[in-house]
Amino acid sequence: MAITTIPMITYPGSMPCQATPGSTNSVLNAVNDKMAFVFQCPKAGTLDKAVFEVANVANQPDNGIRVSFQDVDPSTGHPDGVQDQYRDITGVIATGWQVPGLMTSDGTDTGTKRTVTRGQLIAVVIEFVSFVASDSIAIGWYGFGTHIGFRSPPYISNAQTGTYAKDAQGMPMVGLLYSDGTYAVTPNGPHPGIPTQISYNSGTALADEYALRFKVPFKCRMRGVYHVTDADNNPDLVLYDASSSVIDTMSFVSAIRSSGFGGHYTHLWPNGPHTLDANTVYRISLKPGASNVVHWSWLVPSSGWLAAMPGGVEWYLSRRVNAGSWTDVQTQVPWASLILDGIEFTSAGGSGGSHPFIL
Amino acid sequence: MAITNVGPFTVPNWFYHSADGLATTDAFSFGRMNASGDKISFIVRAPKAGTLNRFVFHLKAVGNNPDNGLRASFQTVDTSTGHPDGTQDQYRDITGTLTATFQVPGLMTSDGTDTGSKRTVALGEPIACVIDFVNFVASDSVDVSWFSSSGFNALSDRSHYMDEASDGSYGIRSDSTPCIALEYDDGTYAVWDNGTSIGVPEITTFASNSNPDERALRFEMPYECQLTGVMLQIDADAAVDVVLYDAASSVIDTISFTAALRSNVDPGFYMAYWPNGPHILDADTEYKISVKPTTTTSIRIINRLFPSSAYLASTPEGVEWYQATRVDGGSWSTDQTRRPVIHLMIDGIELTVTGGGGGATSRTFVG
Repeated sequence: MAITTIPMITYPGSMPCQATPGSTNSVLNAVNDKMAFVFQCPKAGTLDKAVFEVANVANQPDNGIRVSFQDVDPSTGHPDGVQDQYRDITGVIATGWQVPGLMTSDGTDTGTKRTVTRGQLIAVVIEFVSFVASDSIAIGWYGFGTHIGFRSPPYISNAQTGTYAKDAQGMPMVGLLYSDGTYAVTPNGPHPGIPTQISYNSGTALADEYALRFKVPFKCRMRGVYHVTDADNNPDLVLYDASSSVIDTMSFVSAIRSSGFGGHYTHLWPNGPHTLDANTVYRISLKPGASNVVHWSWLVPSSGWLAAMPGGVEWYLSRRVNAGSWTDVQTQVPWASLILDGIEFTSAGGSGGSHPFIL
Repeated sequence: MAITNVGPFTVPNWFYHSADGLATTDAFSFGRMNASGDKISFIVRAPKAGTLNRFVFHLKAVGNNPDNGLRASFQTVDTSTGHPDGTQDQYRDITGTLTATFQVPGLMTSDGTDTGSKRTVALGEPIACVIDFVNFVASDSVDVSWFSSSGFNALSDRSHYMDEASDGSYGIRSDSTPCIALEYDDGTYAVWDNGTSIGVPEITTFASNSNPDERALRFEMPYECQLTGVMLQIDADAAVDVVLYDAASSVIDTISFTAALRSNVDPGFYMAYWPNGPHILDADTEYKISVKPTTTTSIRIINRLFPSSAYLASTPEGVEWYQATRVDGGSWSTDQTRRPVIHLMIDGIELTVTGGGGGATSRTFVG
């Protein structure tokens, strides 16, 4: 079957990046301080838990922190203050993703879970179980800048000063796990990914190539790549097949760009477009010369949470050194999408393929 | 046959309209040329190989009509600086009375006439599209339009940008996205999905007692797919419904936004999932997503305005996406020079088709 030309799409969806792609955070250090993520559930179901990031622990909360599901007050857009389902996180809290136990009506594994409808507004609220003077933690979120943050949910209701105020530049950094083992996944966020950067060059010992390792669930035609990087020092962008043979190389001239800071780039394959087979491994590698480039990716709580990212469980980071074998890192997702302009449609009776996206 | 779940994506992608979220007076910026040596250039990469007829640009204002007109030229990009190299390889002069609108020069050739040689480009080749005065005369003044992400510069694709010499020497704007179209000699257009566009933003204010009282995106998808939600740029100061209609204007689903449930009072992105969705969109079938205020308090919607309907083909969405309006539930009027900023959120595609395969019917999209 032939590839049919389609209007160009950037696949899968992605959040746009900010001037310095990265997360920000808000410090909770007083009795009424809270952070709330307000967003819509992409599908109906029963919720197990929400994950979030603690970006810093300045002073360990003596009684731990509580994460709760709350209704959203339609008159204010803020959480209604009722902890309908919750879980406490106690003990020593480390920075990074927080994956609480089941969030239920009584905060135990045997309480009642929350059931949501498709599109239902929900607030995930993080606060102290019982504040003790000097408790201080920072909750991570994603800062866009005022003008690109959503007006409608998803947004931040930030009570780091004790009173809720919406943050127009905030995107929640949160993930939802349903009771059937599936995840909330959206094209534009919120995502359970912490922006992470890696600086390296051709002499870096750990790896001199960082790549998006991916499969697409349909046969398609790729014109180029959207990716977030800091393309200093004339790096190459290389497309490999599953056996690491080079399909194409885009050599970037760093002088021809609008800024020397990190940002997003759209690159076209000089010998493209290229046909990608369904359910087949490819890699797109950022390969520097002797000077550093910066590669951005999303850090997810664990490999299972890849399913909550737009690319699904077959999109993650690979790295290698000296053109050796690849090491897959299934807890990081390069910040990249494919620019597609064709899909193969088969006639009735053919195979449509399958792919482990869980929607 | 069944829809195959795919990684969710939006059509067009989010950052395609990322600058629009600003108040449009900020997002749609300009570079002022009012002295000898002033120039504005747009650095883009050819999305396909071919021969170029021209580039089209937009003047936001004409402060004082240039006595000898403007010159649009193609130039090579200096690989050591990222600036145009200063050699007008192909050009065309635009003379007479200029107005603050789209500028569509004649064929751009080696001698500035219809019979000169045109420029041939390779896939991905950087090109400088430069606007300057043919011969500056004191008081000449024009404002050349471009898109600004107003300091949030990573929202602009690093590999396409505006290079401003409004003070006589070039300076690359890190927060810029070009406002141009590139026409090939086979009548096709360059299609970018990075925000570069000749569609200029405009804001329309309306309410439930306005005429029209519904402003919609009329669209078709060239393949059967699953629509899970919508993302759009509005200013919902009051309650507003977003309605999905089929071709017969029957309601498929409705999303209701309220003014309290928003993070900011300025125009910007709104998104929601269809409450009764997801919905299957048939291939090559007309649908509408309508913005419908439900009170007499005005809301605002952001459109893109194009030089003509043909230029819809210069966008990733193609020629089947454009504005439809109506009042009091009557018949729709369409305007193929305007397109509301509305994005589809897709999470499934039908990869198997009846009728011998081949998928979507042939379309006029030109990549």
